[in-house]
Amino acid sequence: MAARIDEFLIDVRPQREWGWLVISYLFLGGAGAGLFLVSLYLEHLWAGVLGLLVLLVGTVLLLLDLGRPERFWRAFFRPQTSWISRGCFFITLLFVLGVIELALQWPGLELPAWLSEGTTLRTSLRVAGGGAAVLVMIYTGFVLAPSPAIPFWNSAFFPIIFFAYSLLAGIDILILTSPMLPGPSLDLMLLERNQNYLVILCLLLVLSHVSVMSSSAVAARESIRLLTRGRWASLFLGGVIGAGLIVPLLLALPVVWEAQVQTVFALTFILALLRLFGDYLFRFLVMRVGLYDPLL
Amino acid sequence: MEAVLGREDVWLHSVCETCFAFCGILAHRQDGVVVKIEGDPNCPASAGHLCARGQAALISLYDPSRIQRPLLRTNPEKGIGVDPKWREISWEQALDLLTEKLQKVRAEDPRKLVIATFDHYALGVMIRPAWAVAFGTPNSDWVGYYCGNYLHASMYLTNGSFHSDFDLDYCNYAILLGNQQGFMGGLNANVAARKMAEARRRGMRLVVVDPVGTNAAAKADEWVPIRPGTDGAFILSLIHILLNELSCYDQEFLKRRTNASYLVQEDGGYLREGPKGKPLVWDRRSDGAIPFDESNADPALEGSFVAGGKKCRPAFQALKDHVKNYAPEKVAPITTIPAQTIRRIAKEFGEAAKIGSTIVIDGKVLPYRPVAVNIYRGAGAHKHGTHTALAVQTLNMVVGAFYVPGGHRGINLLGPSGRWAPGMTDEELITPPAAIGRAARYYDFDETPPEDLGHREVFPISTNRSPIYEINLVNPKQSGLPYTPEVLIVCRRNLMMCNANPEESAKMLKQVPFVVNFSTHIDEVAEMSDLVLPDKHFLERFDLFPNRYTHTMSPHTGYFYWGIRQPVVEKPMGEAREWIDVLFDVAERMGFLEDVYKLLNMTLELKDEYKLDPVARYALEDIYDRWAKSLFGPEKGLAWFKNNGYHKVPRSVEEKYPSPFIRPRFPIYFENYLRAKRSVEKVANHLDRKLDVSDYQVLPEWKPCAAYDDASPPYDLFVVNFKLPFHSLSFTTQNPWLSDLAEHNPYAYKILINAETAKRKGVKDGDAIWVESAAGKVKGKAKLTECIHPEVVGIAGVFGSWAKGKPVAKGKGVHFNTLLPINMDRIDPISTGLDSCIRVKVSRAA
Amino acid sequence: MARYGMVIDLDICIGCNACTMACKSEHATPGGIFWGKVLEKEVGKFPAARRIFLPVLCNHCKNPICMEVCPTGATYQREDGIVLIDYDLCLGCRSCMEACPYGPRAFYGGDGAYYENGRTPFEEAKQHFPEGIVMKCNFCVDRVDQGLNPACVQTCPTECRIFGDLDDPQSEVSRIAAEKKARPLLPEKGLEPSVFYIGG
Repeated sequence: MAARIDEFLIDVRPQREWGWLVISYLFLGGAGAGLFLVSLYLEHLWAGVLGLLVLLVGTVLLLLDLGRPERFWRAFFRPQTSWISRGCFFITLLFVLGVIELALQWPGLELPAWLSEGTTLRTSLRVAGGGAAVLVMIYTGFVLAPSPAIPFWNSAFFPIIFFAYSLLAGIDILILTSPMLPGPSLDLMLLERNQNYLVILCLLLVLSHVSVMSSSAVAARESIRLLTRGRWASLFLGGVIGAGLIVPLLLALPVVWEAQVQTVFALTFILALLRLFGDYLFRFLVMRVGLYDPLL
Repeated sequence: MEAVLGREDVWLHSVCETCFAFCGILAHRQDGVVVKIEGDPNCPASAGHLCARGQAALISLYDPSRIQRPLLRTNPEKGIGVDPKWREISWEQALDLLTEKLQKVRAEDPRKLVIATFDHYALGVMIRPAWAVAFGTPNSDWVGYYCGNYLHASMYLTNGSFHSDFDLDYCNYAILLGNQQGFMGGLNANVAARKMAEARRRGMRLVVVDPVGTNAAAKADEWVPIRPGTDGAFILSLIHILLNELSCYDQEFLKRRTNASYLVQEDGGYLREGPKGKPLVWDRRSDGAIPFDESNADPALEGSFVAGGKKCRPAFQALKDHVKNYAPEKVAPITTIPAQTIRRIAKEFGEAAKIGSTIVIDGKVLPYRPVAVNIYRGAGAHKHGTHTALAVQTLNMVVGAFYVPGGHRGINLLGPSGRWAPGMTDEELITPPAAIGRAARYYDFDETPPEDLGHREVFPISTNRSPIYEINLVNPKQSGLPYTPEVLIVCRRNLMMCNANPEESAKMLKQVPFVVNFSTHIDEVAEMSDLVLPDKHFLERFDLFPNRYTHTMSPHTGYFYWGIRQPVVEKPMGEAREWIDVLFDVAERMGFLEDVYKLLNMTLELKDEYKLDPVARYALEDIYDRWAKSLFGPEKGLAWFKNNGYHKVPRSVEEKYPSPFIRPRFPIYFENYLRAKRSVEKVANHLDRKLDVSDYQVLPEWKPCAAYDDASPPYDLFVVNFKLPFHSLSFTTQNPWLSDLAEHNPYAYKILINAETAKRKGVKDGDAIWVESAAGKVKGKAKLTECIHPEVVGIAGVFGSWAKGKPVAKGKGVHFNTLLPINMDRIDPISTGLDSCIRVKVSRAA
Repeated sequence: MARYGMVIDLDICIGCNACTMACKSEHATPGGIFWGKVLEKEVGKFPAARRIFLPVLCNHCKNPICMEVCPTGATYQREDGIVLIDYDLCLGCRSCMEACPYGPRAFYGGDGAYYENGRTPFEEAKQHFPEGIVMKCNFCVDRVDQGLNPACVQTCPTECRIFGDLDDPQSEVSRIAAEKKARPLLPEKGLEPSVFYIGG
């Protein structure tokens, strides 16, 4: 007998259904799509390949989380109402468009004129690919946000927060892998500067969400209590906010304002790691402090 | 789904046995497998409903841990946790061995056989009146300590009935004292719950007096937390307020229906007309003492008189004076209930009694007293618990709420169509009808030396003397009995878990050379046994008329009813057998089955044409068939009951509310205790025993039980046991559905401790803690709660099994009884009930 | 067309869990999983403290969010309002469990047998849930289709549950709901449950 003992109490109740696999998917799926999006901007084939690979790993984890992974194809049947169903289309679309895009970029490939760089078709494909990436980055926010069940998730901030964090993570993966990545070298300094804007955006969004939730339903207030004073306070304040956002921001100041190539190199790696850690932790905590309202 | 040709799909009538309420059930069987159990709509008790235990009984039928074949111990060393090294043997070998052992003791002294069972049916119908008598042992009466001895003794004495009940059809104000009647505990659990719900819907006020915020307390209009063991003081204070402050009592009832007017002398005895004559009353008309039964008398209830040169007063005046010791201001610090609360409850109770009012039911004008105090084990499970129970009955009598609409009542005082009625003493005091109280003799006492392990003659005013069995078994030499028990037969009675501290019980079981256990599991007793025989699950069993008049037929059902417990599966599991059947086989081998048959002919009152021929042999089913036909005619044999379930006879007004229709009076003054005291002292002297007989008092008193004065540090808290509505005794703990539920329940497997108390002790919710008494210690998880008295820790049920043969139950919950010592200081000297109120200390487990 | 619903009287429920066990027996639910159960909590401080009981089951909402979020259509609603799960379609993604505020659903990972030493004939006969799916109270749809009450209603010893057609203003359930001002749990979630409560 596989019993999970929850006491039959009328109380704020934590969600326990979505755990490590879903959290890892949220992180990897978002980061992969984010990285792919950046790769389009940077026109960097290998960054794009890496982005799709990260997304692929995330998707495999998501499939493993299903009770019946072999039935995954059934998830395409309710896009009218279900964001998970829609997400399946987005992921598929991103893979299809992404592979096409990358194939077209493949070095040494002879392309017919109507498919060469600069044509409307090529531009449209790229825009569509980018669009699919954006959808994959944000749809998980929509999976959480419309739920009336878990007030902490029930917020329009989530699609935006997930977008910002996904982009941040995508770029950080790029920073970390840049020495090994084939293809043209990347301007780490530029990336790092952009990251700081993203960090500020994430910080603003997360803090706004926390402040809105502090005066929301019972379960949401409890979520906030857990994050700011309770069991998860050190991980949230120290990990997500401190190590993941504020510390990188402060440490990045020298990088941004006085460029010394050696320091930049070493520091950006550390900053990227910190931010990725903060990002993963954020997704972990979002799931962990998903609480249901008490029934009475 | 369409019925497949030849597919079996049947519903079978049977009777539940997950508690002693014995509700009617229907079992749904498809292709040989029981797929559902529901309440039998035709059963007056369940009326189609069924509690959690009854629903869950289904899965236990198929428990793979059940014993399949007879097992013989090969390891001579016995003890808790010692592997008995079982060897499987055949039934033939088992019966040979059992016969050999029994033959030996019967030849030497049949009293060396002891039978312990809580199988009411087998005990009441087959064992006690027939098999044990034919064998020749008086030691067949060892039932549970769970049992509310305290209550039952008081009920037989004051009500002439075994169980306490109250009329939820009309009651408007009920006080539950240490019990959860109407909340899935106690008598006729299902019908009581239904009636309680109806009563609460119509606005009956419910006051629950209990140290623990039980399910009943949760639904009460008022929960009155009380210090354990002080209920008697609370009740006596209510009586004091009614009699001495509010002058609120039912004069008519007291005069006509009780012995309240009987004159008593200073030594406590009645003032009689001559030495053996009738008790006298003071006639206000003639201003003199006349026999109580003289017509046209106007007996005084109050005053003090001189008659025949002797100072005397009516018994009621004695009671009135007596309870002056229980002023609320004095009782408040004892009970921790504020004096104003006691006063308010007394006032509310007195007003709600509507003394003097009447009601017309079925064209009959009856007194209407819609109040009741109900007591069961919780309030009585203390030393001096009989006094507490008598105080409760006295309170009911004081306001006349006795066997009348809305009031307290016993069950089945009058049988259907006059089949039985209570008897009475020379003083016209009630004695139980034979049908519901054959063994209760509370007015004349045998002064012969006791022959049984329960020492009946030492404890005459008791319904069973189970703890005395234990004390005498541990020390057979000091029992004063001319024999030492050698064979013990146990069935459906967990002597290890449901007695006091298990180490003590183990000592006792080791004393007995040969222990036979009929059991469904290798449970805690089986582990200590020499021969274990696979017993049937109740759903595999045949019991005709399982609803005994004593135990399970509350007037709330509106009927007298006779049903059948029949097997709902075609074959029992493994080689399980019904233990009665096995014992009959043994009787045949030993040659006394004839005597069993002869006794059954008498006790079952079989008509001539259905009498058992002593030389013939009958299957149990044949005996039942004869019994049924004998009682209800040739067309209502066993087959009829199998198909129809119940034979029901509606109750008349008289049968529901007998008080106005019967002659015997209810005692409010216990003059017989003076006689009991003398007899008991005499018998104790025979036995060379020092016995405390001070509890034999003519009026109920509150006396502190041992734990009350036992607050020596660090034993600063009390521990009490309480019931859950979805478990009963120890045997439901091996039920995986109920266990699953209990694991999810916030209280079931925990140790309840008041949040403030816990804080003081540095205990946090969920901490592992030790609870330790002088007798033993138990470990469990603390549950911090507001719903318990701050001086008390609470432990539910009979959990904490340790037998390997009960893998579901093993290690779950906390075993309360481990904390209980057993010795004469912890036993109620009248009823022999084991004191279950104990001092403990609580500490965090590292 | 009927719309089935239930009214539960919280004043009357005594927390005995007869319903919990009737449900388990009726549906042979796996170990650790309860389609219906009784929740409780304490209110107030000693001695003015009290426990309150809340029997819960699937609310069979008029606007079932579980159905909305289900990516496969496994969760569906009958015309009579009963919300069901088609185990053959369910992926076990548990999005329905995240979306429903009432917590009646459970994920079944397999191994539902109650005894460690083997499945019982009862379980062999009745417990046929595919592994890796989500399950919940089905309002005893098979019983209801036969004109019977759900098992929890039928067994309740206090008769604190009333089942019937909410669309029929004459039905007992509708009358009592109207008379006693029945309210659902968490009405602010906007799901319009078909299970209502009175008293408490």
